[in-house]
Amino acid sequence: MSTKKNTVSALLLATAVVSAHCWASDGKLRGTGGLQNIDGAAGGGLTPWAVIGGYAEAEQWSTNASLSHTQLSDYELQTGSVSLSFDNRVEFSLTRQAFDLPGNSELAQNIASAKVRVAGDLIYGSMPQFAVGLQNRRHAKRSTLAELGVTRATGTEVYLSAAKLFLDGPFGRNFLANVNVRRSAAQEIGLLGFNDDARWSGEASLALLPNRYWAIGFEFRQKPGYADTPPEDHWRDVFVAYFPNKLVSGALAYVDLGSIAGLRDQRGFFFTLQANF
Amino acid sequence: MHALTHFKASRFPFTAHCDSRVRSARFYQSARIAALIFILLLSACATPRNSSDQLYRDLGGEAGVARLVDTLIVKYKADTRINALFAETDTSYFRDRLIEDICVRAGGPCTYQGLSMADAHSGMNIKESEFNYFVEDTQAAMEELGIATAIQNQLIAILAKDRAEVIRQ
Repeated sequence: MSTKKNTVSALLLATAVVSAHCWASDGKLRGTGGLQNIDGAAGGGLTPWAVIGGYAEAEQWSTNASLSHTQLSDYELQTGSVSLSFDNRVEFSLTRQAFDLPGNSELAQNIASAKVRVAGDLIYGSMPQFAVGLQNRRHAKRSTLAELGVTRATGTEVYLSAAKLFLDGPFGRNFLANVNVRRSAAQEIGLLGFNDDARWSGEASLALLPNRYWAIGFEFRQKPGYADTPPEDHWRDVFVAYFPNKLVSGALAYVDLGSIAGLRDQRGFFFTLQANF
Repeated sequence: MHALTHFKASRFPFTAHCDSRVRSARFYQSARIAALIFILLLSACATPRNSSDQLYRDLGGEAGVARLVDTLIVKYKADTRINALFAETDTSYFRDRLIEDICVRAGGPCTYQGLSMADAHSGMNIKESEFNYFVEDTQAAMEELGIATAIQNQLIAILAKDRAEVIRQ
């Protein structure tokens, strides 16, 4: 994404925030819609959570828009996402990911996601909130993939997710825990195309909520990798998320993505800004 | 330098065998750290709370709970999202019952003289969102009174248990 595009996106986001007052659904408690992750699904930064994005409770709907930027040692990942949620039950999202060497646009994909809360509740009752998610990834630079010898440019994956917000946990604080299992054939989450055989992988997050405006925590995203492609490392991050109100929210994370496409030690910072309306 | 050079150059030099061993070691290291954190959290859980009326005393006893309820009443009456729900509520009766309820649940020396939660909300068909708005007003009231977050969380955890008997009655 060019600087001009970023400026336009930022302006759109700002406009959305300003106009949001008129029609924002706000039936959920602050922060409980999470943030759109790099794949567009509501959750943390690197992993989706079982939460439904936005602040729409039963009989409400809400939309989100978000931008994220991850600056690594050698690469940068930029994402733009929009999502639509109903009834604290269903969430749809569309995401564009661009993964570049700085100033050199090479790889991009479009992700369409859906997530359904199938049982339980994040906060209330003893049962965790369970959700099932689908993500369809379509690579946008097929000629680049072809040059790399990758033939599959699309992939659809499914994940199961469970999350619970523990009220009044250790230190008198609320905690959020989330675990996922994912079935995917993506290579570097699809940015390097897709393999022939899908594999299972696990993801986990834990966050401490110092109060209702902040969350700090870590995430882990397992990446199985394939023998015939450049080695992949598991992804992890530590994050701080801020929910000053129900219209805007954001997060900053230190990410460690390990080796990507032959370049080792890809660490750096992830930043995301989201508008809910 | 053209970006593709990196991708292409990296395609074959690493053997999967060698790399998976490194990854596996790192994974177990992460797992050990996660397990350690989990155990620390559990042990913090196991720390016994103070005496049974600790929360009541933390809320400031009789005067503190009354002040909290009065502040909350101001909040929900000003909250256009839910104040219509209280249109036919006798505020003074509601105030006394809520003070009793919080007092009892916080371990204080009171007796709750009201209806059960389900009966008290019967016919109101309170929505999930409306329950959350009341929680938010309670949080805002506690913040305004400068009640510590850990105390706030204890009270919210108690009130959260009532939700099933409050909504959709």
